[in-house]
Amino acid sequence: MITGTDLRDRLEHDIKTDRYVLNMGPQHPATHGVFRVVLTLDGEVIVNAEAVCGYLHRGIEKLAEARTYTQVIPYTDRMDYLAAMLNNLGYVQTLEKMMGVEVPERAEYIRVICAELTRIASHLISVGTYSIEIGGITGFFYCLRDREKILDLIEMISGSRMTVSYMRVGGVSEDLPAEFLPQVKKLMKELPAAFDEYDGLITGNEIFQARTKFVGVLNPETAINYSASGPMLRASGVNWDLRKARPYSVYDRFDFEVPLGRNGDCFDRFRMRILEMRQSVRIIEQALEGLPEGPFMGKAPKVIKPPVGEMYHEIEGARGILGYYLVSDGSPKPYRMHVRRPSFINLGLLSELCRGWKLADVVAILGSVDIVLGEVDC
Amino acid sequence: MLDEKVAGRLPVLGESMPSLEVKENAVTVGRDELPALLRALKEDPELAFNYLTNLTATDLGDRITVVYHLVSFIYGYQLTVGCDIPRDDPRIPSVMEIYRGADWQERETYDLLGVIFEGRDLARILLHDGFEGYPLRKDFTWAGGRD
Repeated sequence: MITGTDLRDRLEHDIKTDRYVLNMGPQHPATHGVFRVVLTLDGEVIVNAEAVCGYLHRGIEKLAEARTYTQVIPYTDRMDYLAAMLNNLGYVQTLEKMMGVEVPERAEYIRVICAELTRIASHLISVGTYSIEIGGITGFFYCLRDREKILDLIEMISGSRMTVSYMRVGGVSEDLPAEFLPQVKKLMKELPAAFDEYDGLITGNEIFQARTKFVGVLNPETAINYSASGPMLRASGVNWDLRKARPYSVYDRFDFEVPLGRNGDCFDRFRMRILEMRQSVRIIEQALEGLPEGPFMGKAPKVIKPPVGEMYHEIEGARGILGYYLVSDGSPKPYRMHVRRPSFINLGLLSELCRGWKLADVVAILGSVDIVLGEVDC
Repeated sequence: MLDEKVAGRLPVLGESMPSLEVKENAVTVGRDELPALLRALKEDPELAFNYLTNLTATDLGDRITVVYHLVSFIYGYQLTVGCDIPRDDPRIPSVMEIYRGADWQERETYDLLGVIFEGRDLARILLHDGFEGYPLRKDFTWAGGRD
């Protein structure tokens, strides 16, 4: 007769399990776009997770080579389409650095306001979709409700909700409209209460915590070694935010903190985004307070022709370090453009993060990386 | 511009590397000495370039330049390391053992520029496996292109 103990013993030692392959995506709601993960499983445990990307590759780097520098700006919108202002900013700043163009104070402040508004809008998508992926559908609608208010403001400034193409070499394309300031001030008053609402609805939820705490742990050494950046890196406790570490634009004038995580788990990565949104509100409020009068466009040449040479410039994007590498041959078109896309490099960690966790954790881990496929595939 | 401390320390690290050239805002090195240089930069306690932020390459017509952008989180230094390789023999040692973050970026550079990173498995990452050619090379043309 076989006793229960015997059976457990046999299950643990004698009976071998077969590995099998499970395909997730490319059409899967949790992949935030078109992205595929090929999972090798031993029972429920993940042995390997191979990321397959490129479904949205449009060859933006190649397209840029046949366009003038200004014509490339709309292409940057279409990489991280959830944070187009930040993409614009990184690109025009790289050119300004190459050409030594001065940006007027007012334009710098407007840029900071736009960049931080976009960061909030982007984090709202991240927080909302993460909630839905873990099973809390309501949280998603609260986040999208508030994101819509930000998109209305962005539309007011640039005429477009997402593909803004608002920034130019030397400044921004237009001044802030008169009705923008009262509305943005009102929204900044409302947002902290909304963040409290998400904390109550999502962060504090017991099921949410059980699904995310101590899952997909990333230690600081691995995060640095894998070139992780943004909330993903800071959730592991590494203090590296370019707005503080190497301030660009006028970020050195604002008082804000860089939130850091303790455990480097999915929960911390999620939490970073809510904490960062609170800091972004602080920055916007200070920028609105100090917004100077003056021109919104500096003296930039009509035809953008950077001197022969190369330039690499980085800003803190919504998902991490967003870098532009431009090579100029002195013509009005970029000889070579490369973009360091934070989601692409963060996604390289997926296999490392998933290994040893259960099948059900894949969605929790992937969601916590917060990828945008437009940027991953470029 | 190179940080003074970095510029001062580089010749010490590069004593045994004849191909190392310190320029105004970057350093260049031959491909054979590239891994040794990066390892030295990472392990040197005075520089501690512990973070590879960007890796890419440019087709310059007669040669391909592979660039590595390094950052030291401890001191805040930045450094660009360039490495020229012949266009008809685009081999370069992989630096994945030194910086794990190079993995996907090397694959991307291989995929789009055909740079062969040696000492690792290379597979296309953005384009499909059956794609012919390397689109970011200057002689690549395609139907519907503007050139």
